[in-house]
Amino acid sequence: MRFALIDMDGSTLDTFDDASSAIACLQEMLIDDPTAADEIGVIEYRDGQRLRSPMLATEFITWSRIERMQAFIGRGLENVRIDLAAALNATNGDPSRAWIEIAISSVKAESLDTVLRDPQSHQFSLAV
Amino acid sequence: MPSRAHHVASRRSEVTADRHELDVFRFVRVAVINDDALVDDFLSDAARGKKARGRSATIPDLMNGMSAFRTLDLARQRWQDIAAMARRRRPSEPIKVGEHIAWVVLRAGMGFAYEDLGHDDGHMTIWGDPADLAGAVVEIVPAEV
Repeated sequence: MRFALIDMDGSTLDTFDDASSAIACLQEMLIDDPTAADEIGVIEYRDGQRLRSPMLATEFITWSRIERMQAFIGRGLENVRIDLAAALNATNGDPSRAWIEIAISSVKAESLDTVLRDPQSHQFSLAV
Repeated sequence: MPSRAHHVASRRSEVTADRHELDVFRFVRVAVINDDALVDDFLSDAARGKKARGRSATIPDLMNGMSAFRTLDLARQRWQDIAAMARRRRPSEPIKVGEHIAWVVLRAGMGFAYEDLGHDDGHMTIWGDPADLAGAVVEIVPAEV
């Protein structure tokens, strides 16, 4: 278990081994119930220990996007273009998580939602 | 989107004679054992009208139980987490689950059950009649030290 989703009762709602799965679950919960945004927290564990104080749901989603963007900063622009083309071919129009991960590397955080809504036709700038 | 198939199936276990007793720790709002209101802190999640989220939405029987923790230290750790969340939402917000932790001894023959998935956070689910669970409390301590 790396991430635990908790509520204000202290209950563990769900656990995940990776940030992407935790985010996808959170986004589902928030679509079903927007009030959950500040009722659900995320705690990260490593080697059985808590890494930091819990983040509220929306904070965690933003933090994770920024972390993944930072992981790609410094990669050559050519590499990003090649990866993106291959990912689009591989997914055949299906916005898989792998595609989204790569797309995060080449768009600003505030435009990510636009990319996710329409990944096939979106013309995004390669600004980091 | 993650499939709900990733949810671990229920591992509910009855407290039976071959496991005589089990110590668990639960947040409560009362400070002393003989407070008549203690039984209200052992109502099930469903009885309290809690919304089913996450694994509870997939396994409805979890809503017939309630949260507890494997050790006092892990319960205190979780209490600190929810206190931090509450204070960031609103600085003066009270902690609705209470500011105390009850040490509950689940003994055989009382219809108690529990689920422990072995997670690092020590979170468990327990089942039992509210009055019986309140009667199984041996000590109540402050959540914050």
